[in-house]
Amino acid sequence: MNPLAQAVEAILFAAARSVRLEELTGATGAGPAAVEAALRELEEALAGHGIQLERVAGGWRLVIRPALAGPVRVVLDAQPPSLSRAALETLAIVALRQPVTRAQIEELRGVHSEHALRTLLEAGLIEEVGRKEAPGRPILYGTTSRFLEHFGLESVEALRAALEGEAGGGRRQLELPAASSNREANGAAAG
Amino acid sequence: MTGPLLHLDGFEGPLDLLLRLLESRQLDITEVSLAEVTDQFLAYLRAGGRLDPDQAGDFAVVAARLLALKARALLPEEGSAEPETPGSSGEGEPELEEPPADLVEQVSRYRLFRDAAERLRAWAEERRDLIGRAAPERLGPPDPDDVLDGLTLERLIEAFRDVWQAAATTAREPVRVEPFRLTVREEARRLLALARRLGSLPFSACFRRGGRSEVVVTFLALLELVQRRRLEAVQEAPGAEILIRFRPAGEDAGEAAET
Repeated sequence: MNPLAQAVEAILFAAARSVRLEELTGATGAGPAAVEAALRELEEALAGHGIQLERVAGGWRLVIRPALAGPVRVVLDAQPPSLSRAALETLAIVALRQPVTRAQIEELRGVHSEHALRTLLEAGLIEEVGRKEAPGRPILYGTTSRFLEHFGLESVEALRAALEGEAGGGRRQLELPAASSNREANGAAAG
Repeated sequence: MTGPLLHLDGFEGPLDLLLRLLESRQLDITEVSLAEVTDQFLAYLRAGGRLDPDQAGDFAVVAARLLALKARALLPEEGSAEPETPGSSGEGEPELEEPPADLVEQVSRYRLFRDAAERLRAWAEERRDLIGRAAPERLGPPDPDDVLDGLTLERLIEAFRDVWQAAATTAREPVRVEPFRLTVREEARRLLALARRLGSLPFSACFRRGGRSEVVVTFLALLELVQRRRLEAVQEAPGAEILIRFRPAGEDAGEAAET
């Protein structure tokens, strides 16, 4: 790999989150086209490896190959995080109506949502994004980039489009080109 | 009534329950047995089900909401004897079949989010094996630039001055809190004396002038007395004024208050 692809790999490894293209160009001093070429090179170089590149949350990050999740979990001692229905409902409302106050959420759900909000805040899926200019100046909540990573979304707009575009309940249209092409590459490499 | 109404394990509140009722085509709220819902709730508790105060509160909200709906559906509409009531429903259709429109709208809006939540769950499930690196622990104190994003000392002083001035100009009117004096016991005594003297009196005559709280206290006292069989409530014809009658002691043993 050329030095730029190595730098990109190092950044993504150390960052442990999705890193945007502008961040990569800013950090390396290279132009967008060069960084994109470096990302492609990195993706190819990783074809026979246990990790892969994923395009998510408006950037790129490194994740393991899903087939390897079993042994990885044994070492990490980590169960896949699962959210309660209450938390998921609350999260959906925050995602679609953000910025939103607790009172607005509770009105939409018809029940108290404090516990669900706390769970989501602790999981880093939502955050305080400001205060509403209303009596009591209630806290406004919005989703985080961790939220986008967790659900494999490019942006909140993509989420809205996906949810509204297929009210019929089909599969989402959001494609994850990096992930899917890697899956094929992985199969080829394994075979 | 078919099947369990209430699934307390996955119970997500009144809208959730109403949505399920609507989806299972039990549109007619009058068909919902509230006693059965309550029985299930109690059975759940007796079976050792754990219930946090939030959930208990939510259940009370469901029950109250359903009760209100059912009451509205069962009671004759006010002034239904007269043909025209221009304010409420334009056509003469009775609203017995369906819950009111605002509630339907609220439920359908809720459905949108419930479905979105389900979609999120499915996406997360698809991606559960795409494990990224855990975020590295942050060492040392946070970067002040992150905490004071573009903030200068001057801006801080300015902001404090605004708050200071606002505080200075706020009037300091003392707030007077009046204790609420009327008790159910006193009201019960008054009602009993009144009923004993008059023999019977119309329901509406039981209430004195006062705010909502007074009305509630009087009503509770009335219920208490009826339950203890000191008074009885009779209605001679549907829609007629309810009569409250005094029951002389000795007609039954008065210890019926306890189960």
